Amino acid sequence: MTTADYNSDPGLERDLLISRVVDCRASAEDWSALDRLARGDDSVWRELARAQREHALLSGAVLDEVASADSVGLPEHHAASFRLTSRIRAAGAWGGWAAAAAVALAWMGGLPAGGPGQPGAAGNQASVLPFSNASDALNAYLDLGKKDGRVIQQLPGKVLLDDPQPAADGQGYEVIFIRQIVERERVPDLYRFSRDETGGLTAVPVQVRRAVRGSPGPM
Amino acid sequence: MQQPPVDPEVSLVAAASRGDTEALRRLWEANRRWVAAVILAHKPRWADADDLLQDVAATLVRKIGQVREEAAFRPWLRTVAINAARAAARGQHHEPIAFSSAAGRAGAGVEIDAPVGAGRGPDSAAPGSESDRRDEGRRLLDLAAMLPEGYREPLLLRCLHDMSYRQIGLLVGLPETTIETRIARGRRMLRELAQGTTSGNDQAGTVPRQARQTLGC
Repeated sequence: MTTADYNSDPGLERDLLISRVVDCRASAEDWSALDRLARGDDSVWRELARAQREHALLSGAVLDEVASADSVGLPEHHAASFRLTSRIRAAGAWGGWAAAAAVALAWMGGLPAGGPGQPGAAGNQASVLPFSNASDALNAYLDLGKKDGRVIQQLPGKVLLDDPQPAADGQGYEVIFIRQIVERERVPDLYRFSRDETGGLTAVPVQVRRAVRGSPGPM
Repeated sequence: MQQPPVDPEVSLVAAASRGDTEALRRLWEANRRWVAAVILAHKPRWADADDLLQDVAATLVRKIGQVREEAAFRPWLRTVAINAARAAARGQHHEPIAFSSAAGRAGAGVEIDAPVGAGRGPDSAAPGSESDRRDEGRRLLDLAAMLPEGYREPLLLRCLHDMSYRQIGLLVGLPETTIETRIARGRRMLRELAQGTTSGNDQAGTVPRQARQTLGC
């Protein structure tokens, strides 16, 4: 017998009746038919009891597995780019390409809050740190990081987190974004997360072999 | 061919396609549980379901604008979920790796992609009837992985309780009667597999004779 020819399966009626009871879909006729079957073969009731129990156990396991889905939201950076794309698309739809261009120009121009010449540029820390503002400190971090090998590269793209808003003082726009800096760090151990026999997440140490130039990859 | 019913979800899909982030969020939250069940039915055992679900969420955000027919949203999302699971099976998906704090700098380490709920394991190992039930349920879930794909997915979706045969049929593109038959037969196959592994008549891990016949092995 194969999975394809279940129409010729003599046990199908019995399976369907049991399954309907398990799913609380059995009609009065279904119960009568099940009763008739059981008169000739009382294993039907045992099978029904077993089917109900297994359905309850399997449902519990499935619900346990999918429960963590509730904590999986839409990825924020994707949602941000989704909003930005939609915004630019909408701007183009009413011929407002200039609005999109303005966003881009503001982006390139930077308009850093607290930049040189703006309030807050020099704070109390100026007397402690050799920088007059955050941009200088960041640039110094990038330069020093490249020298000691920690910073590999700052990616040119920035991820916009929310719709740009006109600045409170009416000059320019305020943008909230993620700056992407690729860094290198030496760590003593690596771990991979997996599930243990009870289903709990556990960190397992992993070994990564050093790749040898010119050698074939794993088969 | 069955026509899908008029669904309030249709207007949500239309709004999300136009860039409405709130509609997209509501759409995802209304569908992510059954998406997780589809992933469970198709993923390889070692793959992390939450990682794959995250992949599906990312694809949803990127490609919702490509859904031409709002009523076909669920089948489209199911296909995305199956593709994510199959990509994992082909080894295209990598498990997240974390690293501990740098030597000599306790607490300064960075964790990459730590799954939600990491570290909650020990509590679930407590002995007792609830633990036994969970073990038994998990064993049945493992056995369900041996069922043919066309039987396994409807059976697991049905375990979500809130999905009717009709909704499952619309999702997988099959008539309601076929879904009912597959669930009924899937349950029988699972019963036979479970009996085979507990009765001791067969070697552990092998499929009992009756189930082998049903599975066409």
